[in-house]
Order: sequence, then structure tokens, then C-alpha cells
Amino acid sequence: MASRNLVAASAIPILMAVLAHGESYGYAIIQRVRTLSDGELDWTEGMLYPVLHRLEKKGWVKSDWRQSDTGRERKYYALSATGRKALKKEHAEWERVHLTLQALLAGGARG
Amino acid sequence: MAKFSLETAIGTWRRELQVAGVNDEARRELEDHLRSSVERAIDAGEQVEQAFARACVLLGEPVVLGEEFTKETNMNPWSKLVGIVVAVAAIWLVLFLEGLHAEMLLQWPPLLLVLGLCAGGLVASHGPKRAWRALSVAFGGRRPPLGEIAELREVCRRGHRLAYAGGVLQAIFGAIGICSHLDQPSLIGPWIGDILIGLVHAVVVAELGFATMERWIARPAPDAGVVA
Repeated sequence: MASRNLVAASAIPILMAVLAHGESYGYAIIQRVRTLSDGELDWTEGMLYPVLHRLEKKGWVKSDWRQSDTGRERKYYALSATGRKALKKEHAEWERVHLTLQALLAGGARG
Repeated sequence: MAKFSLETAIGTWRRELQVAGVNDEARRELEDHLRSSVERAIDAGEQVEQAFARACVLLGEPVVLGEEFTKETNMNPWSKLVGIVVAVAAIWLVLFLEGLHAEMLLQWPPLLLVLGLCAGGLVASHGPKRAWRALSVAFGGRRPPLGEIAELREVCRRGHRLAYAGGVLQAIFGAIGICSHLDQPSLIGPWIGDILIGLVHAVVVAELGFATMERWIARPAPDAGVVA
């Protein structure tokens, strides 16, 4: 299971990566992350919403209340154009961390 | 034992979120999440009561959620700073138009200045009725309906911020006084004294006044129920 700090640090890029595949809503986002991470990324579900709202304030995510197939009103989120750019940048940063770590573990630290 | 009712349990849970300060839109969103989670567990063969209890645990404690959502709606420090600068500029403008000097403000009792700023700010932002209601609920002893608690607590929090803004305002006027009397060192001591007195009054009004009011408004009801 990933540590709490790692889960918190990765929440924003992961949320945006889910939304990059199309609009979604809170519960579905959680299920998607849980399935894809084999349960390794386990969030306190309610904490997802303040993060989504922050992304909305930044303009990275747009939202829309609509009636869902259950008949209930539901808030759907989608990535905005600025959000896509931000995700690209976040992705590049995480990639850099990953590559550095790999290089170090492969013996690069000695050089 | 009374039969478990999902709707009653959700109603109680919703009120707990409201008391914790989660706003209406976020409550609707969280309720949709809770219901989706319960439905999925029931489809997987779980009993309704167990499904509800598990969904609540997964979603998180209402108090903790309230803290997270309140953080989200709080003003960031830069907005606060801009707000203070605008307020100070507005007061200066009024003083200028009235032909008064800022120094005259320090002739007022500091407590009056802090209380005046709090009262004026609360009436302007929440209206006189809501401001009076917060006072009467805190000191009157009668517990308000659950739906009103979060709103009245917000009044107290704003009063708390305004009291400190009053202290900062007096400190600014004091600093201006010091700067304008640099050639008379004997006058600087009293100015510093005025600044300190203003700050002490701000802390007293904020911490003993508004923080206590908020605690009294949020005190638990003697008959507070427990979720199914």
C-alpha cells in the first residue's frame, strides 16, 4: 500500500489523468483509481472532493450538474484546455522523478 | 430494536455534515457518492445497514470532511492582505474627505474601535439580523436548529478575523504616528503603548469574544443522536 504522503502528492496528477480520458464524477473516479492501482492507492473517499474543487478554482477542471442514470443530480467533472497543459507538465515532472530514481538504483549514484 | 431506515440514517449524516460546516453543494455531491457506494455494496449482497456503515467509513468522518472543505473555502493569505489594504485605504479616504487626521482614531478607546469594526463588518457581510442572531444564540443559551449552526459559526469566524484586522489597523495608525514624530523621541513611547493596547484589545475580542461565541454555538445538544 502506498504511503499517505505519496497518495496525497500524487492525487492531483492522478485525478487529472482519469479526467483526461473523458468526463467523470467523484465515485467513478475513485473506483477507477482503485481498480487500476490494484487497491494500492487507497484514498479517504471524501477527501477527493476538496481536491477536485481546488482544481476547479484553478480552472484546470470544469464541472456541470446533470441528472444521472440513477435519476439523481450528479456533478460531472471534465479536464479543461489549461488542465490538459498542466497535466502534461505534471506528467513530465513525475517522469523525471521516476527516471532519476531508476538511474540511481541502477548504479548511477556511483558516477 | 428499531428497524434500520436508510433515509433516516442519511438524513442524520447529512445534518452532521452541515454542522461540520460543509456547504450545501458539497453536501449534495457527497450524498450522491454515499448513495452510489451503498447501492454498489447492496448489489454485492451486503445488508443495507452494513452497506451504509461501510460507505460512511470509506467517505470519512463528517468533522474531518468539514475541516477539509472549510480550508478550501477560507480566503488565502494574499486575499486577506488585499482586503486589509483596501479597508485601510477606504478609511484613509473617508478621513481625508472629512478633513480629519488618522491620529484622531487613536484618541478613541481601542476597544471601541475594534468592536466598531467587528460590528460594522459583520452587519455589512451578514446583515444585522444574522449578526444579532449569532449573539443571541451564543449568549441566550437556546440551541439553534441544526441547519443554522454552520452559518452562525461562520459569523463568529468572520468576527474573529475582523477583530484582528482592528488590531492591525491600530498598529498601522500607530506606526504612521511614530513615523511622523521621529524628530520628537519623547512621543514615540506613548505611540508604541497605544499600538500594544490596540493589539491586546484585538486579541481579547477575538479569542475571548468570538472564539468563545463559536464554541458555545457549536456545543453539542444534550439529546444528540447517534447514526443508526
